[in-house]
Amino acid sequence: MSRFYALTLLLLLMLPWAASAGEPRSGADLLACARHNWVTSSYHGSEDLKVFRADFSKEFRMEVWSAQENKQVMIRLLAPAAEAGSGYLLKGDQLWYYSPAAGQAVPLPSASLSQAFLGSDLNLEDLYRGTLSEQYTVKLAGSRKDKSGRLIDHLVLTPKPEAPVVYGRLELDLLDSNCAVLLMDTYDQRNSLIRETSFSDFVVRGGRVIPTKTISNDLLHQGNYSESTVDPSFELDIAIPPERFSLACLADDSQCGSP
Amino acid sequence: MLLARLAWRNLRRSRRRTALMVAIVALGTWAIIVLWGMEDGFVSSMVRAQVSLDTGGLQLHRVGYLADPDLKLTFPADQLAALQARLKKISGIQAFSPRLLAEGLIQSAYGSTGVEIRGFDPELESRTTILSKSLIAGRFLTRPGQIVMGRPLAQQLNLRLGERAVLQVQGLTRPHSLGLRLVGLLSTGLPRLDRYTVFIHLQDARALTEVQGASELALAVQHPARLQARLQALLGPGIKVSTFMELNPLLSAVSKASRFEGWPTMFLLALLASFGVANTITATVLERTRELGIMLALGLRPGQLKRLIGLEALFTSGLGFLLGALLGYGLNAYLARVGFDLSAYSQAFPDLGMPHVLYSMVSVWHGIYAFIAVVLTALLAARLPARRAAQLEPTEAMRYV
Repeated sequence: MSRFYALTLLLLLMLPWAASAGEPRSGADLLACARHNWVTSSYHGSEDLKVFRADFSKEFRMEVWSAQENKQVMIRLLAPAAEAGSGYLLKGDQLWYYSPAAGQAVPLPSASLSQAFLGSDLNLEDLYRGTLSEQYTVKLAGSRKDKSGRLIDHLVLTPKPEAPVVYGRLELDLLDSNCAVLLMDTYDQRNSLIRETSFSDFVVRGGRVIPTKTISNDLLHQGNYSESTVDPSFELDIAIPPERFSLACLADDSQCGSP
Repeated sequence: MLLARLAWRNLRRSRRRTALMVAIVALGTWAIIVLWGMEDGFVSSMVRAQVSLDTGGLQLHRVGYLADPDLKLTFPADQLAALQARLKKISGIQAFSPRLLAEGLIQSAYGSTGVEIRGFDPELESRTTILSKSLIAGRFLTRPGQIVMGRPLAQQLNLRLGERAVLQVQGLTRPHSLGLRLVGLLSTGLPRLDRYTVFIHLQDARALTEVQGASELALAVQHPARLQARLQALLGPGIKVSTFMELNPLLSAVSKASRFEGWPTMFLLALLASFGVANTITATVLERTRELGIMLALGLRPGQLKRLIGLEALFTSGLGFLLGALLGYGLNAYLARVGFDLSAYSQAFPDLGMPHVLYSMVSVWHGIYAFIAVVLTALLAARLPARRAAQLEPTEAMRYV
């Protein structure tokens, strides 16, 4: 799921990256640079999602395909056994869920996109959709060096007045050298930090720097956090048959076209 | 006149017995006036709240909308404009407000819940209902970009005034989201409005739903039932004109039931009072047999004796009625001003549209009902012992111990 968090950021970063070498970069430039790490025509990979709550924990394994910069996403759950075979299909604004027990795909209301995905601290809206893309104004608040001497840029993203965003602001730390996002802090509208999301275990693939581990801490509920890990064998910019993003495929893997 | 003086003197001689009869009648009168006042107040409070805060007296919808409140069955913009122009020319309509309704999800940073979204023009809505008067903090809607909701809903979402909430709605073709600033908190006393509804500008509702018209037109009218048929005939079969009662079948059922609920109570109270009075007078006649025999021996005719007993019953019933009416109307007037808290019931039945606080009703009819039920029944009941007294043989009665 690390990739999905990064995709959230990606979707925030819709401004063109026009910075040229040597010139001081603005916040928008840095976001566009970070976006460059994540712009892929398609993606395929396996991911683990662990959900920790005060009184229980749960672990999911899933296979994910995406195309057209996440306009089309297919998620197939592989584990736990009770949920294996179920899946989600997101096409634009439309979302379907398939359960082998029901034997058919059912459309979900669009509001489901904002609900906790698999009971985690993530939701499909944040993960896949681009509705946040133009909803923030971005400011480079400063730069510092970490213990290793790396230059870290600190960005503050403030929602525009009518933006459909419930948060007060987002604050991001990213590496100046390759625009890899290290940390995203979410504040409520009362200036309280309510969620901390860290990105680590970066993999460099095709000139892109991609985190494979993401930990999201819900600071409003003590002990609630989610951890996602992307299998490093993920593939980018590959050909995925259009049948993969169909209802027939959601219900039956044999209908997904050849890989 | 002599009999009246005699009856009054008799009552004063046996004060304890008189007080008992007065108390029985007063209790019956008091109970009828208070119970009936509460019953009528209960229904009228609900109706008043429903009409003045929520529905208006009448509502117009496209035929089929009420059975299936789909965005596709709303008034298109051109039909709405034509309809509004016609309504302005129809007498008896004080104001109207076009509303656009949708189901959606509201989100804060701390939670989310499903709500009914009601979009309207704040100025037109304020002329049609008194919703804006139930504001308890902040201000009412003035322009797009704002949202108003009941305090319980804001508490549930942990939203404060000035903070942004996000509304999500499935529009005609695709989902839409909008960030809106919370500018006001309401307390209507109607759980459906306070807990499950948010109020936004019509323009924002149109942006969220892609509907350029309205779901309904709420009308402020003086006599909904009278205007309904005339309006329906004027507007034709494509538009459904509904009264507030038709829009809330539960309220309608409660209102109808309340008309009959009072009668058994009144019958029981009348029975209680008549038994009490008849019983006490019978005891009195028995106790005063010797005295009544002497009165007959001294020349009082049986008919006069019967009237004497009847006058005693009339005086005690009259006194009891006055006392009961005084106490009953006093309590009703107090409850009509202060009200009584029924929030537990109103929250249990949010669809009923019952406000948290209900007010009693003061009506001269309650006194008239009480008079008929208690005083007349008591007087009728007194006829039996009076007749028995009139049939006494003076010589036997004087020997009665």
